[in-house]
Parts: sequence; C-alpha cells; structure tokens
Amino acid sequence: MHQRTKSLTTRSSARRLARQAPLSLLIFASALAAGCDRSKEKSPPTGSAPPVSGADALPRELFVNQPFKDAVGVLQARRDVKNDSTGRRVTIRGRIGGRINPFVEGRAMFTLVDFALKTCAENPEDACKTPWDYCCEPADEIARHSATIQVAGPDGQLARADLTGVGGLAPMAIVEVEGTVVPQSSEASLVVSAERIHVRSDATEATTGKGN
Amino acid sequence: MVMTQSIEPKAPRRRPRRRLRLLPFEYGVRNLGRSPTRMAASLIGAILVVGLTLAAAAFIRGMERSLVVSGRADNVILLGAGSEESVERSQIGAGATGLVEAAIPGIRSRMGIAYVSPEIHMAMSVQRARDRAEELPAVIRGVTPAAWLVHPQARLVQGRAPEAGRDELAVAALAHTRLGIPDEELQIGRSLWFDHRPWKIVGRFEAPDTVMNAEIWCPLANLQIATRRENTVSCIVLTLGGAEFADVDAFCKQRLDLELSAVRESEYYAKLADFFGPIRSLVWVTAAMIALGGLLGGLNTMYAAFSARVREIGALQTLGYARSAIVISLVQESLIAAAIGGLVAAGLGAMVLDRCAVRFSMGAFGLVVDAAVMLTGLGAGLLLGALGALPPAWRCLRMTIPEALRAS
Repeated sequence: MHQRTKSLTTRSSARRLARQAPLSLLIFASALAAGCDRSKEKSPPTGSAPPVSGADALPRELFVNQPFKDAVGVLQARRDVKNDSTGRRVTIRGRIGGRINPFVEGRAMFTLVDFALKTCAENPEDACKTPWDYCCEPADEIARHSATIQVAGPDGQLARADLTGVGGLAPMAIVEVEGTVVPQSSEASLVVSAERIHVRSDATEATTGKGN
Repeated sequence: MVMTQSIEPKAPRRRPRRRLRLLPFEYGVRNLGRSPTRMAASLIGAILVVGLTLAAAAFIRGMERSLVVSGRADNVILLGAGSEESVERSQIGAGATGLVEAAIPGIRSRMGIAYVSPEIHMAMSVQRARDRAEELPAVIRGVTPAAWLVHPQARLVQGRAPEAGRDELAVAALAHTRLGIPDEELQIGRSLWFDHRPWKIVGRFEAPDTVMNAEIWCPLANLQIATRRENTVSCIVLTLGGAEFADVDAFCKQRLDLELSAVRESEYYAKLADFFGPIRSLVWVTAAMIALGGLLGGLNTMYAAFSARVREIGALQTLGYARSAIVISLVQESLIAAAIGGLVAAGLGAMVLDRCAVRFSMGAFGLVVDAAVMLTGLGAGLLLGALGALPPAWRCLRMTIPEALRAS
C-alpha cells in the first residue's frame, strides 16, 4: 500500500509538473526575449540630443491662474501690431477656434478667434456639432479675426507637444495669452509665441471684459 | 493465514457510450438525383442566392477599395478652409503652391523636383463632337507634371502626358464608363469638346482601384483658362519626405491669411467612404431581402422533397438510425446542393463580375471579386443550405414511427 501511495504521489507530481512546464517555458522565453531585445535601445546620434516632446517640452510656468489686466481682443491686437513687430509683447484675449481642429496634433499651437465673430452655437437654429469652426462665417472673415498662438520648447523652436486638453485648453475655451510676436508674423497673419496662458472659467466675464 | 480483501473504493461503473450511427454519405448524395426537377430548383436557388451575395459584396468591396487605395498615407491635401469635405468646392490661391514648397522643409523631392502638385478637380459636362448636343458627365483634373509624382498609382500606358499650353487630354481606363460611351471613342487621336473647342486625346493612363481610374486629366493652366479661374486651384497635394503632417498643419495655421486646411489624403477618402455608408447598407439590405426570398423558395422545395420521404424516414428509424442522424443526412443533402450551386455562382461571378465597371458620383470603379468576396458568397450559400433544411427536417421527424410508416 505504501508502494501504491508512493507511486500515486509520484504520478500526480509528474502530472503537475507537466501542466506547469509550458507556463514555465513561456515565462523563461519572455524573459529571454526581453533581455535580448535591443531594438528599442537607440543610442542618440552623436552631437545632437533627441527632440524633447510631450509635457516636458512645455515651460513649467506656462499656465497661470490670474487673468491679465491689459488683454485686448484679437482684432485690436492685429491693428496694433504692424509689420516689423517681431519681438513686441502682446496680451491677447480670444476664443479657441477657427478650424474644425484648432490645435495641431503633436505641436504646441492653436488658433484664437476674436469675440466679434459669432460661433455657430450662438445661432439657436444651428445644430452644428463643431460650433468652434465658425463655418457660418466666410473664410476670409475668420482669417481676419484670428491669430495663431504657439509655444516654444526648450530649444526655442515650436514645442513638440499637443496642447489639446492641457491646462483646460479645448475648442471654445476662452483664453488670455501673453507673449511676443514671432518673425513669421505679418500684418495679414498674427503669430504670437506664448509665455503665459490663462484659461478663463467665466465665459460671460471674459466676453464683456476689455476687448476691441 | 488470514486473507484480507482490499477495501479500496471502486471506480463508478459507467454506462458504455453509444456512438451515433450516421447514415452513409453516399445515401445523401444519391438522394439528390432522385428528383432531377427538385435538384434543378435547389441548384438554381443556390446559384441565385450566392450570385446575388457575391454581386453585393463585390460592389461594396470595389467601392471601398477605390476610396481607400485612392488615398496615400504620405500624401497631404491642402484645401480651402471650410471645404475639407469636398475638393470640388475648394478654392485656394494659385500662388500658395510656391509658398508651400518654400516654407515647409522635408517635402519629398526627386532630382530637385518637389512632390507638390497644384490641381483643379471639376465635375463638368463634355461633348463628343461640336454638333452633338448630348452632354456627358466627366470628372476632369487639371494637373502639372508633378501630379504623376504625387499620384504614383497613375501610370501612362499609351501615348504621352498632355502638355501645358495645348488643349490636350489623357484619359483613364474607366473614363468611358463614367461618360457612358464606348471605349473606342476615347482612343488616342479622338477628341472631346468643352469650352467650345476640341481637346485632343494624346494619352491613356490607368490607376487601378482608385477614383482617378475614371478621370480625364489635362494641363492645369489650360483648365484654369477654360473655367475662368486663373488665380485659383482646388487643392495642393504634396508628398511627405522627412516632414510630418504636423509640420504642414502648423504651416497652414501660421499662415491663416492663405486660408488653407491640411488633411491627410487617406483620411479625406476615408471620410468619403463613410459618406457612402448608407449606400452600402442599402445594398446589403437589398441583398438580404432577396436572399430571404431565395431561402423561402428553397424551404418550399425542401418541404416538398422531404414530405415525399416520410415513410422512408420512418423506415430508417425502424432500422435503428437516430433522428439526429437522419437530420444530419438531410442537412448534408441540402448542403451539397447549396455547395454545388455556390461553386457554379462563384465561377460565373469571377468570370462575369470581376472588374465590371460601375458608375457612381465620384467617377467609376470596378467590382472586385477576391478571396474575401468568394468566401462571403459561398458562406452565405452554405448557411442558407443548412438553415433551409432544418425546418422541413424537423417537421418530418415530429411524427412517431407508426404514423410515419402509415403516411401516404
């Protein structure tokens, strides 16, 4: 009986081992593959650092809680800024929009529209799903009432970070931006490099505040 | 010496499992030939159902493929802001082409030629001759030589590309389908009329499985003059090299005065494919309704066939065959008939339907009968073959054995 019990125990242990063997082999193979996989380890090119991207590319103090006292509307800012205004400091207030997607995927940039232009949402008969694209307005009017806001990264170039949802930025959001006019800007197209951004939570106060 | 019996528990005794005895396969095959009329009816029904399913699937596959293959992942279309959904409605300044080429680094180029193609896309009417008033609906694209670079799917197969400054055309392989005229009328040397003058066909090209395969291409400058839009084009198509889509989009948003909007070409055509979603649904619903009609017709045939064999089925049960085995045999007969009909339909479909051109709003496309379409058609046929046999088989087997044997 002792012989039979021992043989039974041996058989059940063997069966248990047989069941566990494939799992053990799989774990071992995965560990081996992970250890040997060097494909993702790319050494950076000599003499140049990989571009910083994502949230790390944005300045830490980009978003502020306090509104700016001297913010003007986009239209007024465009009137004030002429050609050769590179480096001039401006503070602009507007609504994010002007395109179906006012942001740039993978780049820290968005378009801002003056409050003088009515969104589709302000027309009660319009059931537009993307009211921030101002599709009811002619394209040249949208362009005339718009400005481009971009954020520079640590290298001074346009930051490789998507701003959608960051710090409350979203289509239709009302924002105030303090920054400088960039060299690509012209009388026909205002481009501002933002140093500080304030996202307004009270839409009414923002639209009736200082503007054009 | 005392003998002691082992008191180990015995394993419970199991009833011996009976294996289901199936009817021979040849029995089902021979039964198919018992009534040639019924067999023919079943075959015709299967051919119709599978053929119809094949046609519907080939139509949808052809339409989808022409829209998917038309758009390349590395191409970006610059359209007028607000016209992102329709290149025909878009208008942008012709001068934007040079600005785009200069301002966006990383656009693909070859031997100093940038892959930047300004284009005009127009749906307009043309005529076969000056004295023929009949107007034919054409899709005309005004291009520069760069178009052949950004659209590598298009390749000249005969003649040459039309030259700027001349009223010349290159027609695609399915342009005749779009126009609704014989292909012979679009051979090299023939002409089409629009803007009150003849345009000579100097080349033929093909762009398989794309919307370009039904278009007529002409020099951009000539089309601008003919359509009185010297300062505008519909779009600019560029191919990315080292640049990313974000670089192009950023340029468009920095130059708001140009009123440009950047869309990946693949996304543009994918949205168009979504636009035709209701048509695809309509095609499937129509195919399903006719297939249902075929199924009901097949059911009728099966009911008649099985009802005539009630006594035979009763006799099989007295021989010891289980009802499930008889059902399997009846379904097998139906499946064989459906499979034969399905194979015939698949063969006819491959010969007749494949590459058959269909005209639609954006041009024309060819039906595609590939492996997936074949599988869909044959699968539908087999499914209907199986489903079509079950209700009649169930009805015949509901009777008890004595009732079945007494049936007339």
